[in-house]
Amino acid sequence: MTSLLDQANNKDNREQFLNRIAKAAGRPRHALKDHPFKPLNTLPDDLLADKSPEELLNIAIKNSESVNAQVVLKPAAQLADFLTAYAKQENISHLLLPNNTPEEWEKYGLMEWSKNPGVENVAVWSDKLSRQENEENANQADLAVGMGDYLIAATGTVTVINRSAQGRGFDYLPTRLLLIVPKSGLVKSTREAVNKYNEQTANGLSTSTFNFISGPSNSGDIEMELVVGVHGPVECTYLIVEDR
Amino acid sequence: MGISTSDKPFITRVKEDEADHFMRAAVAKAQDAQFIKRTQARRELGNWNEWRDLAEQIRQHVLKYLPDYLEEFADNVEKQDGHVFFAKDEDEAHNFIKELAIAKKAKNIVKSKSMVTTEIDLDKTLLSIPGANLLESDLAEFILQEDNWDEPTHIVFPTLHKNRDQIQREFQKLGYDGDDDPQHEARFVRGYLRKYFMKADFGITGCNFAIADNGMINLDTNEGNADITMAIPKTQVVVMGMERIVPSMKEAEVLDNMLARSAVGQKLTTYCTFTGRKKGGEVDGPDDFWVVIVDDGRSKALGTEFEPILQCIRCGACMNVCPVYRQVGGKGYGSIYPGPLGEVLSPILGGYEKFKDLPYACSLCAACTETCPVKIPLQHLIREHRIVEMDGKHMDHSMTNLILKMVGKGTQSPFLFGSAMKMAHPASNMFSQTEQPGAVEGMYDEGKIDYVPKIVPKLIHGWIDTRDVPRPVKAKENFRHWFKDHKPEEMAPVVKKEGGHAND
Amino acid sequence: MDNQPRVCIFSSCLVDLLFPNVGKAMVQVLERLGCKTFLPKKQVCCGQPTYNSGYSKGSLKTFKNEIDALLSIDADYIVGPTGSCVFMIKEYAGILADDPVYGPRAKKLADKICEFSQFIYRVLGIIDCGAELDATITVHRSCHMTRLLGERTAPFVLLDHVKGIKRVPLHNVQLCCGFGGTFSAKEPELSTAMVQDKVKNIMDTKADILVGMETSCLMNIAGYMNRHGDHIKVMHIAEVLNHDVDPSRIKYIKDTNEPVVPANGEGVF
Ligand code: SF4
Repeated sequence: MTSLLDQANNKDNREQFLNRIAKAAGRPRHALKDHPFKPLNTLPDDLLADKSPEELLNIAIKNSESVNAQVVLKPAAQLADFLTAYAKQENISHLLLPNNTPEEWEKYGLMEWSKNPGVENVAVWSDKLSRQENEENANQADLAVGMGDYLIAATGTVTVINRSAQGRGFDYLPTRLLLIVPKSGLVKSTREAVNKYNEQTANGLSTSTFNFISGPSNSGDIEMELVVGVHGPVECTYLIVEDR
Repeated sequence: MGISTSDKPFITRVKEDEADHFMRAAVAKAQDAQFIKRTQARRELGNWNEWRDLAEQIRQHVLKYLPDYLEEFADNVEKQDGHVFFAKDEDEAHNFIKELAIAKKAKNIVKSKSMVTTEIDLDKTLLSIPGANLLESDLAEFILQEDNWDEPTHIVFPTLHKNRDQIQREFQKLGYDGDDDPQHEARFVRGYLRKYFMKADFGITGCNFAIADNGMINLDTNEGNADITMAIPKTQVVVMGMERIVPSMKEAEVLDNMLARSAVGQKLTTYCTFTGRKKGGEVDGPDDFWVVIVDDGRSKALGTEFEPILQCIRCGACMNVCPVYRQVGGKGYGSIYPGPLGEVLSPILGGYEKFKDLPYACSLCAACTETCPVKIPLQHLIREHRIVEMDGKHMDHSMTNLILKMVGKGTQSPFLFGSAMKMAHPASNMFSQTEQPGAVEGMYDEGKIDYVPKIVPKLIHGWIDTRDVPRPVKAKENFRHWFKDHKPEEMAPVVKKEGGHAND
Repeated sequence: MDNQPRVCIFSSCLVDLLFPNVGKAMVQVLERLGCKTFLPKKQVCCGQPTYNSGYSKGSLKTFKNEIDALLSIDADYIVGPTGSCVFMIKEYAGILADDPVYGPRAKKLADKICEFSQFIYRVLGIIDCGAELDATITVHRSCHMTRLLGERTAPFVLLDHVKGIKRVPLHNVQLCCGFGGTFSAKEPELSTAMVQDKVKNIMDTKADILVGMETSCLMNIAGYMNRHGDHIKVMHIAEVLNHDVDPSRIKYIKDTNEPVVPANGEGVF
């Protein structure tokens, strides 16, 4: 018997399957090119389209809080002080940071802070460490301070991508996750965020993952009672940078 | 366990469920709570029915061009150096994954909740690999696993039938010494599973939507377990029903919003992730990325009146509104797909012989159809199954069948019906009946029939054992008689014949 | 007056066999509101008991008989006291779509037929039938009427305009009463559990009267109540709208400031 594994990415396996279901459906294959999907309405694009930027921000804050995310607004100049105070207040002993370039930190005035955040143990997620070392660091961390791209008003969501400086484990394994998002990243809807990522991809962005994160992990599996903090972070903070 | 969860006959399961008061109260409470959350979330979005039109259009379009989209998707997974296997049935699917796990020398397999992996009986297959461990990471699935692989009873809330005390006792076996507070129980699982996660080498997830134009997998979860499952293990298998595909992230995004609002009354699930094989420079995520696309009977619905059931996005709203599910809970259906969705899907995937009772476990109230975010005409399809069973397969040979055939004859002939109207009142003397008007005013002017001999068929007993029936009116007092007398007869404006007239 | 709407009465088999008062009340209300009524003799039944049980072929003759009977009178409208059966009749057009003779006839029938309260409110444009009933009521709204026919507001508007009525909302009004046609007899355990819940919710309202739009649901609910000693009165909406009527109170929507409430309410379920 030949191994089933050989049939993966095998033309016969695919063609037989697709021909069989096309036959079952009684429809020819390869008709899609003449009938691309054309949405019958524009609701996803119209969502919150009539809101001013201030209104959008207020909606974003309200929706973020409703998913138990903590929302903090600060100008860039105050980020470092805020983060130091926050780490102190939460008794953070293991901090995880992304391996940002100096420019990326400096955009938020955080270069100095990132070198000296005032926490006993600081680890940096980086492709210079092994996969296992990074994951262990993330697992140890009681706070990760990472970079988000967009803040979505309609759903109270912050989006993040996977990159060498900030991997998947960075966002999921620490006990607390804080995401820094520029106010310029405020978008109306998941549709707008998807559109922006599509644009970036067309311009060369390469990532394996787009994460849409809305608050801390949670579950209603036990008697449908909401519990916060299951596998992912138990607390989630959006730090919105007012002047970036 | 495959799609079937029980070998007991339907009626036995129903009776067992009737006795399970905790379960029934839990289901009722859950339905009522979800009713409020779901309706609020949908209202808040605005234009809900137009969103449904869009969602329906997306799903119908994809089904119409399914082979083309699957081809595009497979090409794009291969471009990321991923692997795609098309499995025509359950055996192919789970054997493939087993071979893969053996080839990769998997030791610690971690899974995140997925209906399709339950459907293809994956857990049992993987546990048969010597030396391999397997843990379900979704809180509910973990609870079921630790309770000796108990059956799920809901597609979104698989442990709806369990209470916090049962869960506490279960966890005590794993070393839990806390109270029965769900928050504490969940934290215990977080710690317990985290240790396992950190050494997991083989991850398995389902797939909410596969993105045809970039080969990504879209996953919606609240716990974050699917994402950790996609982060840590070096080998990753995604199992997807072949219909779970969309053209691009734009359509996925629409469905993600509707899914979360419909399933749990949230705007979006906490984690809504588009992901795939690890890319150059990235540190974690799967080096080895495999997608198994499963038919397992779905193609039997393609091109038939049942095709719309493949539009389903597994939100569970139909079971959350179903008055029968409210009474039976999930287990009664004997299928991993319970409720209205299951009544339509189970006979297609598992066959009519096994699931012939399910389409009849429905009062056709249409609450499911009304709530379904992708506009599947569920109650209509349930009735279509009945038609297949009765007219297509002649599956009922009971007395009920005979009676209904008689009713069929009686209702097609004005003559027979006229005789029935004359006969009904005297005929009801055959049964014992009370001449005094019954106590519920307005319904029992002629008295009631309250006892029928044991020998009459179940079709009648089913009613009369718990409910009274009014006695038919005397012919002289019936409506038609009254109508004739109530005013001077006026010539009805008769239509001249235009064809038809079946009874002339 | 010859601009009186001519209304063909679709009586339904339950009214013919068991509930003459509902039929009488419906006819009296319609005539009072200015309609001329006619009752075709050859009508029997809409065919739901068999069709919904899966006997599609066996139901075709029933459908065709009903089409012939209801179209035998040249009426402007066809009106019946049950949303469920009215919807079944509307479905004929789809079921018989390929029948060259009955397809078009079924379509014609579908266009003419209306449920009673819907007809009064949406076709005649009447908001107050002039009735009076000094009682606290609660309403079972019926699933096919609300979801298949899509009429969830007309009966409530009409009932709320009956003088003296106090309507208390029914908890979990959206849940089926467990009738479901032959379902109630084929799955008696489930059906009984459902009607038990429904009756509990009804009794909890402490209403004097349960009002419904569907004789079948009412028969189910009252059958359970009667057996178990929950003795409140049960009325069909036609009987309520025909109760202690003062014709001078009859009011058209256009003569009030009230908006026409859409059949589907707010449309989110
Ligand atoms: S059938 Fe509709 S309502 Fe039911 S689970 Fe599927 S998508 Fe949701």
